[in-house]
Amino acid sequence: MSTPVDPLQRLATLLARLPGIGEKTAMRLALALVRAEPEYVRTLAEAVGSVHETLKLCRVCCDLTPTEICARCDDARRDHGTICVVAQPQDRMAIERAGVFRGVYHVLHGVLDPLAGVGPAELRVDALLRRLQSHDGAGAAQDAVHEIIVATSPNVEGDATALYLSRLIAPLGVKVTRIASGLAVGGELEYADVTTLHRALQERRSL
Amino acid sequence: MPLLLRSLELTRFRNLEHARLELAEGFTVLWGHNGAGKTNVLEALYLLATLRSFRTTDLSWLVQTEAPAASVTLQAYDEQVALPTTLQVQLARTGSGVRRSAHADGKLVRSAIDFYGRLRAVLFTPDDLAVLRESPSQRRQFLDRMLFARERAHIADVQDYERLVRSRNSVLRDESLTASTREPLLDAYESQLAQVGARIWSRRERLLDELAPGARASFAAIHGRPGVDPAQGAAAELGLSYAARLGTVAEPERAGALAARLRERRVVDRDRGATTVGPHRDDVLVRLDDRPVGEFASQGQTRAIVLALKLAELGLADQAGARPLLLLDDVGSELDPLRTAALFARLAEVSGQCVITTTAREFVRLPPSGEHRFWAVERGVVRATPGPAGPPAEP
Repeated sequence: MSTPVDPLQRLATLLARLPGIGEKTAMRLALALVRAEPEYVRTLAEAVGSVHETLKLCRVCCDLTPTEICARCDDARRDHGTICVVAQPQDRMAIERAGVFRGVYHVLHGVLDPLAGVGPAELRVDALLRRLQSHDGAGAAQDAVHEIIVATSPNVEGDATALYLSRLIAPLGVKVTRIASGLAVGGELEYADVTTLHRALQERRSL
Repeated sequence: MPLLLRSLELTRFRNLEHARLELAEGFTVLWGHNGAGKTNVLEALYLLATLRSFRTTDLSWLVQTEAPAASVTLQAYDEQVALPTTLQVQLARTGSGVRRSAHADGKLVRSAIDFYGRLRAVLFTPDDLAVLRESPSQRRQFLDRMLFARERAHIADVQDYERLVRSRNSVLRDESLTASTREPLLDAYESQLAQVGARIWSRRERLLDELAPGARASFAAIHGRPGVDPAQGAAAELGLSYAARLGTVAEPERAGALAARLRERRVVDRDRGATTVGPHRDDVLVRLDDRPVGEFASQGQTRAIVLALKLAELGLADQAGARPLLLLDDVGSELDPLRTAALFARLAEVSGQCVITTTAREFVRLPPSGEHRFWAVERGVVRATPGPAGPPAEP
């Protein structure tokens, strides 16, 4: 005797596998889809179904892109000599939204975490090194990389990733920098937690 | 927040259905047979100070069997603001365990961190003897726990440090890595380990330097009073020093020295699959007259040393203006009568309010001056009783 499939529950179960979606939210979303315009549901299904075909990794920076080379790597107005290294595509988006960085990016797709089985081989580190070496060898003057800014999160894993990259890259003669960490701008000092205050004091600068 | 504790009320806490006891300005003595429920009262006070139990990590044990909830309520007087204050912890059973909620003056305190430190308590139980007798990790933990109460940054550093050690070990053990990948990875973890490790090392050493004079004086007062026990001769001198794996290194050079040593040890550590140098391998060296105590200390000496360390901890908290409560579980059972008398004389000098449990009232030698209270505990019932000077009460 086989149990009949419950399509609503099936949809909710699949939705609940996504990050940040609990079982209740998943069921609410599933019910919303049942009640939504059929046209919207079809378009959504199409977008979901084709995501693996339409999105790939940029050949240069490993960011997600529908094209061979992403819009930023393809933009001649950007400074291709400065590469900002981030852990995830959403980190790149955050910096891009701020609109203060005019260089190009490199997405690692993770940070070093040997306890979770993530070593250098699991990250897009080789691709980053190739970017540095290709400029180096060809001697192509205007776009030789002169600075790598490591913009990983300020925690044990993010710091380890930054230090590891600096060890690999420094011998190539490229300057490696780390984004600053400390007090949040516009925040109140009295509400800062001890770890943040500690860093802020440690990494103070003279005026 | 210097508190003067007035009374404690327990409801459905362990084997105590309901109990209310006034706390003395000096010593409050709880006496009764083993298993009567004396230590439950200490546990309740400790819970108010730390939101934890010193006997179990599972707080559902603290709720009376079959009862839906337990509570402990402390009435105190806050001298700094000249106002009475109430601290309460409630434990309510849930489907899976127990939900803990803390209230100060009737108001729910959502964050545990905001509740800690309202009441400071220093606890001594017979289990603390492990600090001297067992592995170095017990002694490191003793220092780290005290540091957690003093410097919140220490908690984050200890957590990061443990994670970094495990990460380095896992890189060392990973056979799939080539040397050209492994070496820079180890550089990355070691440079962080050195920074964080040096801070942990320095904080522990500074704490021990602050504790040492008080501990030395208390040990001399409790155990080695010249003339009290001729067989022992003059007071043995208690020495405490931080024994770092790296030996003596000046504070500013520690991070550099740790980084260098970690690098040197890579081959050895790879063989062992573990990080063999750093503050997670350090120890506290306890000496009596320059001989390490591990080799020869008697039961009585061990007890006196640990008590002296606790009194030194109390002294430091007191200097910081916290006026801590001293909780002594099962005191006196391993000290001879002369030393017990000396212990109580010392306690009267250094402690403010003190709550003691004992199975025999003759172990307790209270100073003649000061206000003291006696409570008999029997089968979960707590009642006032005259002190040892009065007529013997039948529990």
